[in-house]
Amino acid sequence: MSQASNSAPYDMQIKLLMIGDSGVGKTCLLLRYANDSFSPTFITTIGIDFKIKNVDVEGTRIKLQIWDTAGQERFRTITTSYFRGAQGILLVYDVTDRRSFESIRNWISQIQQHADVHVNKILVGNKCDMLDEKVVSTEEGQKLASEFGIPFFECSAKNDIHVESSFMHIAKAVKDRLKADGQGGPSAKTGLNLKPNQSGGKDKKCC
Amino acid sequence: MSKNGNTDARTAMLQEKADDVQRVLDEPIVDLWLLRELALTEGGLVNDELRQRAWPKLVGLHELWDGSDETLPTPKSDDTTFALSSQASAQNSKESALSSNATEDSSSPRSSMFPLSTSEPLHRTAGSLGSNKTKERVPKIVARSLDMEQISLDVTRCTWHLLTGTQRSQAFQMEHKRHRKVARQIKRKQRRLANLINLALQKSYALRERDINSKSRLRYYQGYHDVACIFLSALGGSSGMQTSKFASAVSGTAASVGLDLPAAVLLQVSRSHLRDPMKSSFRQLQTCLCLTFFPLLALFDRTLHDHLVAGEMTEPTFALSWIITWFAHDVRDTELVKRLFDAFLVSHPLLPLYVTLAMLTHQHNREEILSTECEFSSLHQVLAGLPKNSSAVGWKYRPGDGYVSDDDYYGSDDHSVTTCTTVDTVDGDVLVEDLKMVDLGYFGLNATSVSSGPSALVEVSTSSQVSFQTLIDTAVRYMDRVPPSDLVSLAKRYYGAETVNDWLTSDSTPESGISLLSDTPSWSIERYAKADWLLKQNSRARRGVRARNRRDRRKDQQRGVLLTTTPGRRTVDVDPTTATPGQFLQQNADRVAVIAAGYGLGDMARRARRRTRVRWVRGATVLVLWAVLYAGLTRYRRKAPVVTLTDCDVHGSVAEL
Repeated sequence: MSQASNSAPYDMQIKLLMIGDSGVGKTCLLLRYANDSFSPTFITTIGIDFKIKNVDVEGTRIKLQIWDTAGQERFRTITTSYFRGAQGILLVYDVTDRRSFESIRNWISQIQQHADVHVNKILVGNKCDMLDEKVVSTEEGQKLASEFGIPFFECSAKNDIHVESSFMHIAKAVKDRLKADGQGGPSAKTGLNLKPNQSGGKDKKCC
Repeated sequence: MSKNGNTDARTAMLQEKADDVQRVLDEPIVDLWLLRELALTEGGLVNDELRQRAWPKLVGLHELWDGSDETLPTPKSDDTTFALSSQASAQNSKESALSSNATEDSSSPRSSMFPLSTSEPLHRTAGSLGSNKTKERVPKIVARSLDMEQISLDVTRCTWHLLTGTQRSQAFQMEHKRHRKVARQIKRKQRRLANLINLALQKSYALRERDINSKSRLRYYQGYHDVACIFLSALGGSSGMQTSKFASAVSGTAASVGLDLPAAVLLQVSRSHLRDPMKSSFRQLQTCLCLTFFPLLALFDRTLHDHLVAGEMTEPTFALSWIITWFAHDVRDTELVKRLFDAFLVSHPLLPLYVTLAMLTHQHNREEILSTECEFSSLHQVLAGLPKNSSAVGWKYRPGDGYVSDDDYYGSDDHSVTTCTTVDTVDGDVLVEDLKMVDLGYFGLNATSVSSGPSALVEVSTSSQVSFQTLIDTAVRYMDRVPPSDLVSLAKRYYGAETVNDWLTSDSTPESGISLLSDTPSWSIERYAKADWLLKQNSRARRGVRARNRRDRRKDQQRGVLLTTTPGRRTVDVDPTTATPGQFLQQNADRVAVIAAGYGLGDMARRARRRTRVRWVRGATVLVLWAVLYAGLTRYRRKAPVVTLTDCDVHGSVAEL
């Protein structure tokens, strides 16, 4: 029903995926970006969900389809099957939770296993408004990002700091890559379906 | 006007239903199949007061209050659990790390002063709990589990069902405008929820003490907190009622904060209905869903099936939260969710899957799906939003964004202030509120029929076009056609026997087998349970204790008279069953509750039966024909030699002559 109203004309459709440990604020970031709203009590994501945002990047009208995933490890078998279709991945951690930062490496290896080789990535440290409780310094975040050669942003969904710019950054990166690959243009829409990758043919073994 | 009329009629219907349930529960021997039937039909078990009495019986907790009434702690119950698990955590370094985290989790350092294995100080709190002023002394952490961290993460994000239902009456809102107080109370409720989940998990560890380090433990999954929330709301909310009746009934901290009943029921459900998602991974659950969903959909609605497959939908991920939270995550009308829980509790664990199918194939939803473009993300969005066609409470429709949570209707952070009215669940006021709401007819099967609470604020014009009762009825009908026991053979026909066998054998060890496809626990098909009052009476009689006060004594007397005068009820202590559960199920295979429990006959068996019948008839006809022929033949044969003999004789005599 709702996608009917979202099917405004666009030049390109880009699929982004948000991953990271449970409770780092993936859903909050997404809702801040897509709906410009924030509530400290956003509900837990179970399984997978997505939002749509239409943006204009350097004159190209882009329909962003942003998929939000459940953070708990047991959902990984489900969420990783969505990696394949994503063109951009946002790795999110919580600056007040060191463990969520440490598991970024784990998430990166998940990407290497399940996602496209050329997928654009971005590292996002959320909750940067909570200065008193911050345990992962900006330098550390920056260091990790440059280790993997990916851009780094510190955001706050609550105070709306750098949320828009990080999404726009990855959208632009994906757009540039696709344009360079010659995949741009409206025709690209068909080739970019985000769907759980199948292990081939009739054998629909899901796990 | 007509709306009012409808509401009135509905209230009257529910009142009648409540009386029916009450009547069944008041019988000395409660007929569980009757209770199950009531749970499945319109209105369910109606209200929390009845649920508190019915749910424990329906999940096989008959002896919950037996023998513990009016006594001091029975050493067997909670205390040992606490002791056991604290031992376990001492052995397991990972766990002790977790428990230290848990102490940090609570804001007060006092919590660490409550050693979980001692019962003495806890009892004092239990005793003093009657008065509201001393509630600060209730320990913040009642139990610990392996997944405490994840639980606390999810629980702090969970407010909706904690605040809905009885606590959302607008009149009450006006009195509670002070933000901080409300925030504090929400926190307390969230802590209560965390305690409930941890307690249930901890109790489950104790049940499997032999393989305490094995992977077979129940593990928390995201979504379990939504389920627990409903149990807390239905069973833990009015500890006032329980404490008045069973003030000193149970021991330990859990009892002192009224969590023992919800924890016990939750544990039973976790060990049976939710066993698959609670395994160390979702592997079995996913296999089961893949194995069952598409074959069933193909059978019930080929067009819809083809549409989804064309949209490259290979797994029913959109329905994951429906199935693992029994719709508690997606439906925000707490009363409605409780009603759904009534049905799911008394049914086969796969009923949520059948309801999912019923939801997809319902005419209204079906048209919506089929009119959606055959593309994965569009389909996913439409499918995931289907529960909102059944209950739009708590959601609002925003053009461009689709359905969004209704809590930003109130602005940002302090939405809770306007939505909730908080009643302290630790003291007993809730019951009064509950009853008030019963009178108001606050049951809300349809989002539109509820005038108080959030639905009045919902801007969505869509009324609930697809009532859940219809879906439950359809689901039961589907289960009648294909009972869970036929699912594997159905899957084999759909995917091919080899593929299915591969899937099943890869999960063949007993612990990792698919529980949803295994046998249901014996309590799910029990026929009778003793009434609470009878249990109490018996235990009192056993201990030679008289009833506490004159009122109770008089009641006992009346019931005693009832027992002795009612013919056939004399031997209430003995299970009146004559037929074994299996025989009973066979004889009643067409009863709604039996079908929903997974013991319906099924089309396959029916067809087989018909075939056998045809074969019998054919056999019998052949036999009869053969017999007739044989008889005819023998008569002919018998006649023939006579004839020849006579002929011979004749010939002979002729020759002689």
